[in-house]
Amino acid sequence: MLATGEGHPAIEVDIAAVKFLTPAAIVAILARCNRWKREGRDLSLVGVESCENLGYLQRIDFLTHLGVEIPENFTRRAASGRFVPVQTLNFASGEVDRIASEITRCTLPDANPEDDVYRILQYAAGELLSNAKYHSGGRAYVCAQFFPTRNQVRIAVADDGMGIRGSFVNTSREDEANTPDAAIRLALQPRVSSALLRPNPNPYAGQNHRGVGLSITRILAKEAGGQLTIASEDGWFDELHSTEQARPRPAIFFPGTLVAVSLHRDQIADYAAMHAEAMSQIGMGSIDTPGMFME
Amino acid sequence: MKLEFQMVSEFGDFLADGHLGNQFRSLRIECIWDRVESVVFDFTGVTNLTDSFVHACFGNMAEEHGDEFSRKVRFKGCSPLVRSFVSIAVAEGLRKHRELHAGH
Repeated sequence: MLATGEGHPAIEVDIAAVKFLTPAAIVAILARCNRWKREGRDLSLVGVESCENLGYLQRIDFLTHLGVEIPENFTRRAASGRFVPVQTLNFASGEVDRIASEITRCTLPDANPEDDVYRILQYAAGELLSNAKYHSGGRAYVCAQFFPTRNQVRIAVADDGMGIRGSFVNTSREDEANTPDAAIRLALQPRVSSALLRPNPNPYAGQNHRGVGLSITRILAKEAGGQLTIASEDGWFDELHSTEQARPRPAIFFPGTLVAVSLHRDQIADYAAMHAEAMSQIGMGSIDTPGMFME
Repeated sequence: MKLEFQMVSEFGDFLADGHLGNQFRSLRIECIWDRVESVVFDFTGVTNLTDSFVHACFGNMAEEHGDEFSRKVRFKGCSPLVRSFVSIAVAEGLRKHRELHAGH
């Protein structure tokens, strides 16, 4: 769907057969459809009456974010870990910490903020939202879900902005990011951030990004038995495609950026140790700082 | 002048947004750095943070001031997780400071 809508002035989104959507599918469809609407395309939703899982789509606010309001014949309760409503964030008003914490709390209602699984999901949400907020120039959608039978947490952030290749335009490494796949590979390199590569008119102002968050999130996901997936334009990255046994890549055209992370809850043991190990893998370690830390 | 910041009062228990970390550094600390004798960042109540925040705030500060940062800045109330994040960001900032000032 994300590929076939290109170039058409009118687009119908048929939800009749929708039984379930992964977090990545939810946010990708919302970001893409709302960009089509912003571009002046005539977007309509069909199959609403015959959709078997209309309540599910309403509970996660999928329809609301598409501008479709249908009376709800259920009672809304606090998010319980099964249906986590989609949250949005934009550059002007985005509250990265609040949204990341809220989505983590809703996804893992039985965990507390000191638990390793809670903190690793909160970290991933914070880093992905922070990237979307400062690199996309658009609106971001975030959604997460816990899959009890697999003991797996999935989180996805999609934005309707300029895409990863677009974020490297006018930077010192623009030539290296000359294809969507090359831009994704560049963004995954430690210490590479499009913000760091852009000429800074005030060198004393510092930078908001060090090009660390995405690299560390990728390593943490792998250590937790999951993976990082990225789509931007027709570029695609996941761990299976970075190995020699690569499977056929999905046909997709997504003009913004979609980043999804999966983690297996039972493979998260000691988050502090996992993070320190991940930092060490990208060549960043702590130093002995006598007296800097007070009891 | 001695400064002390309660990070949980400034940002809540999750320090996530790199832009806010950099803004805090720039507007609350750098502008008076020369007059500051010591500055303490109290992380009591902070349960988690991102690399974006900690590198934008403390990595940049360490990179800017090098040894002077090590003399003036202290952290307290840090959990093992917070200590690990801060320590790595400071190390990276000091490394970049040395790199930038090598041969000067």
